[in-house]
Amino acid sequence: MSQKRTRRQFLVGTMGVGAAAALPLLAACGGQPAPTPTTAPAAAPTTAPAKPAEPAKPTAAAVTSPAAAKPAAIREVPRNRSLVSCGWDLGTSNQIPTPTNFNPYVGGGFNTHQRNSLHYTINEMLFYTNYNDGKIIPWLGESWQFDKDFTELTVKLRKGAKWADGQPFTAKDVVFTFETLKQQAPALILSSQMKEWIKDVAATDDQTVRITLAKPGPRWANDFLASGQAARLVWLPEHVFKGQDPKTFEFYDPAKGWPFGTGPFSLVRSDENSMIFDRRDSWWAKDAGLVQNLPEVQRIIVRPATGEALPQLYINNELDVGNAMTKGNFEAALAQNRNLATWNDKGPAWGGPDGCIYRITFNCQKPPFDDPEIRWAFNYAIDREQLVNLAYEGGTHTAVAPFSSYGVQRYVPAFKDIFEKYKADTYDPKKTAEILTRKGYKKNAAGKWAKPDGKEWPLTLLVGTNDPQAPVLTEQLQAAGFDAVWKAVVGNERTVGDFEITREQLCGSIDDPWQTLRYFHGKYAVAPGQPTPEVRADSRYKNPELDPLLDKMEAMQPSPEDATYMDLAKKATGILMRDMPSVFTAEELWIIIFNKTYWTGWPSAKDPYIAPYIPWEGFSQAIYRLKPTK
Amino acid sequence: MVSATRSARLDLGFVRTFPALTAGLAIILLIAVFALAGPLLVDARGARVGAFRPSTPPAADHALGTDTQGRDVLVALTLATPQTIRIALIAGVIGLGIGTILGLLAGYFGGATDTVIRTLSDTLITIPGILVLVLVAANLRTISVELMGVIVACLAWMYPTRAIRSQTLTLRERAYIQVARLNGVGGLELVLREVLPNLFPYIAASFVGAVSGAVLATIGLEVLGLGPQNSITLGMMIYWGQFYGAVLRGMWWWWGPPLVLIVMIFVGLLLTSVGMDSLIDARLRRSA
Repeated sequence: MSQKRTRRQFLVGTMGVGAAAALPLLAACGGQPAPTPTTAPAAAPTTAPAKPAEPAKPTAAAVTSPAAAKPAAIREVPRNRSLVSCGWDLGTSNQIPTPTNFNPYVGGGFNTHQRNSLHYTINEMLFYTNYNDGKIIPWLGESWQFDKDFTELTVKLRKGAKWADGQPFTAKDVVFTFETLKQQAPALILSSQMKEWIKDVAATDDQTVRITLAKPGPRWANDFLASGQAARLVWLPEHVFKGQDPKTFEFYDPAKGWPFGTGPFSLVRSDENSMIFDRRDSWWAKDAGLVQNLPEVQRIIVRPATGEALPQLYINNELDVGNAMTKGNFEAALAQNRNLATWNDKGPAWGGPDGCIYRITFNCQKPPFDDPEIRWAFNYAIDREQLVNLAYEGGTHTAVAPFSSYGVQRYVPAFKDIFEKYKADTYDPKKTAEILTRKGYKKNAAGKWAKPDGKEWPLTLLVGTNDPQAPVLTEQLQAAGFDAVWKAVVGNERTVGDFEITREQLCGSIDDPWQTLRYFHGKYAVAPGQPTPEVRADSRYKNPELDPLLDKMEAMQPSPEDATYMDLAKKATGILMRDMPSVFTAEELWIIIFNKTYWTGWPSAKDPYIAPYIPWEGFSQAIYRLKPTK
Repeated sequence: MVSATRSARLDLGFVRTFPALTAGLAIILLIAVFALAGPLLVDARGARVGAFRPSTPPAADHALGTDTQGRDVLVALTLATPQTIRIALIAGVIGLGIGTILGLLAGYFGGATDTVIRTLSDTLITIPGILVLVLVAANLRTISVELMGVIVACLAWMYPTRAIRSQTLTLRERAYIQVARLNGVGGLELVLREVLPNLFPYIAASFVGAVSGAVLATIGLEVLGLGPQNSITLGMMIYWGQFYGAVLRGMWWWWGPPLVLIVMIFVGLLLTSVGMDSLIDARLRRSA
């Protein structure tokens, strides 16, 4: 009898200890913990909700390979002649989306491939812009010229430009692209914009394109042909696309060498796990004398990487370039791999600008946020310095207006007296209290501001996912007496105006104040509940005093030397400062990582030959200049 | 029939007979004291964003250092623990309450009632909690600690239902139930007066299991950023730590303590529930 009990005791004891040790592990793997009844397993990360913009934790989705022919064997290229990139958007789903569809104007379109890999491998633009100084870099194009009214644009193409299959790249390809987009509106991406802008387009000879605009477009050439900000025009080879249905043609056939462009690389393999581009043997740019040599990079491998994996991949030199990291992660990774570099070579503001300014936007159609004094009350409650220190660990600088550190800074000295007059970066909760008290708001028993009619005033700050500013701003608002909480955006609340205050940014500030001021035009203040046509114009601010100023600026070519233009810009900026439809807090800086273990020559604050962002047109200039270290 | 060891005398005999239960209860008691007394002993303002200089390692004035947003980690931990426990208790109580009622009804009355309840619980067990939470979050101003408890409870009642139901099925056939039925006691009154009291040990065991499952579910959701964002809980501390790369940066004082506490809670509950099995089932006990 006692023997049996002893054995049973031993078994129970071991089971107990083993279960106690193993169950946390089991639970972490999402299994049902035995033996006690528990709730449904929820500790394991399951597939993130299917929202493409959300940077939640993804799992490697088990996608079956498309039933394509096995790709041809690719040649051996050593690591020190290969460049490994993780693209920009691929970390969200952790795989290459639609790896066999290279039609740039359907589905995810250029956001899918052009943005992550094609624009620095296969495709080239007519012109590139170096945002750091605003200079134009002519490439496939040589020059452009407007007529007096900015309605007729003549573009000269470079002689000698060739497609990868040897055919010449000429005006007829450009015309074909514009006409295809126009005809297919609204089915293709950019087609509605082309239909809106282009009245007529023709090739007057092989190297000349004459574009007749439907309305004056003094910025049209910069925005559509040179910067990639307003549109990413991918030139379609007429001799391939002619006769194909542009809505369904996938432009993928490795046997025929599809897809191809004019760039120095060609696609040799593409599946959900990676895309591999090999350097071609010839390139029109070298033959035409535009560059001295073919790129030193012989192979570019594009593979997805999640945000969490980035630090380790960079530390292990499994990545050379790609996405950005937070300041803390970068400094920790740098400590383990001294070859990592970013825009600046010293912290804490390591990162480079991207034309975006952080802001808190009010829905100016919802009372009391239709009152500029209430908006100013909120402005006084924000401590910008603390925000930068706590949300970004000092990794950026404060701001009061939507003007980035790019070329638009040329205009800023003229605005100095406006900024001095309004002093928007004043942190003074006493002023907040003074304004609110004057307006009839009173603090309730809980010490929070209540509406003049005595009702509660709960506020929800709508933020993006994983927003580090959210807890800091909420804390500051609560300290000023607001009953504030924060909540992450789920759908299109900002576009349809389903918010009162939201934390976001305003982007597009490159070399002209109108590029950001324009979003406060009254034409975007559509009826409440209706989606605004411009997602950046979610403030729904409407001021008939401001609109004519913006309209005039839109019709002119911008220049800080133009006294008329500056006068308009100053008046518009003054109105924005006075009425505060958005509280601008700090500039957005990204810590883009470049790994110097295998490649040097990256753009930086010391060598700002192009903006450092892999998803932006112009990054090809960096690829062409890289030199191997070993 | 067990005699002397039935009374839970707090003496060495008890400890020797129920080692797991004793250890589990001891851990839980420790955590309970920390959760109840802790908040009274610290200044809650120390856990607010921007309270102190950020990212400082443990020192004399901050026993567990500060995080990157300037919170004192020890103060945050002291405030977070009762919040996490609250969520788990709310979820456990609600989940168990629903589970007991449904399990009793299904087990005792059988037939259509049983089929409906059983199908419902078996189907809903398979729904991932994250989907539910995202759907709920989309339609609410914010998720509070109490609401989080309710949401987790919606996922917590299925297992107790099944466990109580199977016990009820067994008890239903006992002799004293038959006798009561013959005496004219019927239906609901029978269930409440004869069956339910005999289920108390199983309910207690289910409760511990439900609470420990709720802790896991809560932490899991919070670490993904789907928790009560405007409150401090153990899972949210880990979430922010992970967001700011605390592990990569070696800020062990930030991610370590919440993790230790979570493991303690879970191990305490687990040992208690293993121990309760031996309390219920005499054959699993050691001899005194």
